[in-house]
Amino acid sequence: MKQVRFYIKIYIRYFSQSLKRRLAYRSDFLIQIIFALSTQVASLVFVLTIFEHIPDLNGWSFAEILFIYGFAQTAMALFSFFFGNLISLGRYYILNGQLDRVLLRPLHPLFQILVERLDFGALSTLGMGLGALGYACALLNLSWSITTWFLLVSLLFCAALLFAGLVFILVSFTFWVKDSTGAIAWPLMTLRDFAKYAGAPRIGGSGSVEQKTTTTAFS
Amino acid sequence: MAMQFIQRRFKVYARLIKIQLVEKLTYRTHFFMVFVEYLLIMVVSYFLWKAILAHGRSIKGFTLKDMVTYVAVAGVFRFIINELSGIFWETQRQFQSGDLIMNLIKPIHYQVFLYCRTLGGVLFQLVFRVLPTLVLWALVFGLTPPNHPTLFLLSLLLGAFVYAGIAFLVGLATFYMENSTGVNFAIRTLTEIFSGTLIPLVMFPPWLASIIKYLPFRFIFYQPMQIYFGHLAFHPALIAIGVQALWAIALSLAGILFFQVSIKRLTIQGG
Repeated sequence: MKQVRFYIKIYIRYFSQSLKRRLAYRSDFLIQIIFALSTQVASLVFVLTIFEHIPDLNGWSFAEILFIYGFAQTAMALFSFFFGNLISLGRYYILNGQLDRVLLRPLHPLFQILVERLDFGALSTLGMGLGALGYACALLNLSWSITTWFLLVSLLFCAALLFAGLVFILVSFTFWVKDSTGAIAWPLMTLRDFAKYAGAPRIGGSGSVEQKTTTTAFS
Repeated sequence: MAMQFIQRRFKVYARLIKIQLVEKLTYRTHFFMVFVEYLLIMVVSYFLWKAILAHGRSIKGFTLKDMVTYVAVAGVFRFIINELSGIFWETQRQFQSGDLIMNLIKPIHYQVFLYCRTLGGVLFQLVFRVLPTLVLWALVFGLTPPNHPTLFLLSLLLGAFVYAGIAFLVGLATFYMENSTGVNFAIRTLTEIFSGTLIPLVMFPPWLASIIKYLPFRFIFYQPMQIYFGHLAFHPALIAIGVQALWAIALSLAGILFFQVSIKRLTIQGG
């Protein structure tokens, strides 16, 4: 218990340091926001355009697709904010030797990696996700109760944690595989982009990934 | 004498191209993961369009069969676009690290140097990614051959030049902003949407189409595809290619001029 309290205290310290650093480099912050937004604009344009021509996608209405989009965006924003630094494990920590520095300190190394760089650019994604979610809810006329609210919030965090786990498994391979660009997690990140549109999987059969198109992957 | 000069020049260019090819082959994890990623995008797009255009539905004349081909060509063209973005990344990197100065004292124009380097990368993409992908796609999902192969390839080549011109201009913006990564991301998104790699441009609502008409982006990919599907007949296609060539030349010239202006305010700290 004492340890948990200690880590929470450290986390808050790191958080405020991160925030200060973010505010010091404005242009860098702006870039992060533009990147976060630009990866979504294309996908939104895609859905909006397609629904101009068709009434529903395999039984999924526009509002339903929008709901899934909003849910996925919000969950992924949570992932990027809290666990986003996992992606740089191979490129920054292992290849550059930064892991040595981390290992020398009396804190859990994974904890340090997670808190060293909080992705404040994800806040724009969060805004967009929540906006889409709210708008979709209004269109769908859902009835809310305390249980459904609780479910929504906990499922959002579960989704973020689940994705973080998958990313962690993949980037762990960089202890064996030389990954100079961080490319090892890109396919997964791309699949994440697809998760926004659940429209198609019903016919696909295998169901998991048959969704949407686009990426702003900058390889 | 002149012949010898040209020969020597081309030897330099060939060497630059070769270096880039070798460099590309070095990073194997990167190569493989990017390949997987881009294939995923294509396969997912295929299933998405299959759902959208189910029951023989068509949107603005595009049937499922057309879209299967469209998605494939757009997918492999992304490899090329990605490679061409290297023009931006390299300019920014050279500016920030100061390496640029080494290229300024070499007897080869910086833009030519960059284009040769990029050509090496493009060749790599064509041989190791584009061709295998297309063959695989044709076997699994099927491909419709282009209507006017020569015109299509010519138009696609010019499209690549249009994008290269844009990428170089964005790279030069680094001279003024120190870091134009944000601009690059924004331009990449615009290219994705307005060049037609995401979705055929005819499907856009009219108000958006009227904006796209005045932007160079549609010449990068959508116009070659119009020729591919025979939406442009032979003569209109020739005229369209002429307009495209004008854009390619104009953007390259703008790059040369902008470079001359920008180089005057270049400051390199250390390096």
